[in-house]
Amino acid sequence: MYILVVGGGKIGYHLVRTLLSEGHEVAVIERDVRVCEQIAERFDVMVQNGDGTNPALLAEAGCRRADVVVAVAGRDQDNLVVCQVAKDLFDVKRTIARINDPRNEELFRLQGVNALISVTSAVSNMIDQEITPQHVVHYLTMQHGHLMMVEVTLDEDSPVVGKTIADVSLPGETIIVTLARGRKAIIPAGSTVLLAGDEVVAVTNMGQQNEVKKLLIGEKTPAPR
Amino acid sequence: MIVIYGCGQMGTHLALRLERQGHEVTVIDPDRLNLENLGQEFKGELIMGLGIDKDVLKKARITESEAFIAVSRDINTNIMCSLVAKRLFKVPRVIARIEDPQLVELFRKFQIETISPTTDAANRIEELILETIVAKEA
Repeated sequence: MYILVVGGGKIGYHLVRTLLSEGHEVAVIERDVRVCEQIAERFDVMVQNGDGTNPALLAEAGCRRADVVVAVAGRDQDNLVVCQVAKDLFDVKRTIARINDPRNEELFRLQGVNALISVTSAVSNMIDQEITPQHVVHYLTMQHGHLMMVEVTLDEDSPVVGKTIADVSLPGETIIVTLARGRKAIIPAGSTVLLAGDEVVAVTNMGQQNEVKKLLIGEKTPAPR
Repeated sequence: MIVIYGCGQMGTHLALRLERQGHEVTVIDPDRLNLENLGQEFKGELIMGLGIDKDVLKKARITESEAFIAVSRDINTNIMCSLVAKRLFKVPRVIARIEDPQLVELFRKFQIETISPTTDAANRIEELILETIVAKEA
């Protein structure tokens, strides 16, 4: 594939290295001439010095035949305009943008940017997952970070032990996907009774994971596993 | 009510003029020194902040405004805050300072009207010079 990278900072630099090692053809546009020189010295790629939102420069960098344009400059407004120009003036099928402020996500999606790399959200999610008590395991983050899978082990003191799943008032858009009981995995029904020792796996909206956790294991600080 | 982003020469001039015509004007700029350009005469609200920040625009009561005008020197910021004003806050008239003719075309699609002061001035100067040359040759 031919991939055009706009922004040659830390993310751009490592991206270029990874893409080249995977055998892609890569070109870089970067504002800072010194950064351009560093990239040109280090990698066998075409480097253009200038403003990546300038249609003339994008044309020169072969934007029209690019399969993907990745905008990883430092400012969200620059990345948005790069993607918009690539998409609307050069018919680039796939545009990917780095965003710094997660609040900008809505506009980027509305404007048709295909994928977003939110550095701030990624880091804070990682920290959040690291500092969450050990016996609640966030399995994985799905659908670009909108859904989360949460695993909780119920103990005797859990407020939901002895209740049926139908009786547990989970927050909206939360579903208990499976229960691990002993060595058996159970696909639960509304009538399934929760027991101490059950490992409950639930999927919920991002941001609700702590509420779900509290509901299932109670308020107290959980004992380590 | 009119919200202006960018309080350089053009923003200042525009804000004072619109206010004199009886409009309620709010001006946003990330630089306090720029906002001071408006001086004592200006009675409207001054907001220090980035125009692409939804919360800053909300503070400027963007949802009640009839027009949003982005005239900073930073073209990409003008574009992005205009998109926020138009697409997220549905401001009836959005005008942005964009210089590149291809970008002007592109953002027209999103109902963003544009002004290109540098390009327009350069064109005008070119015209004036051509007139002189033509006159000489004639």
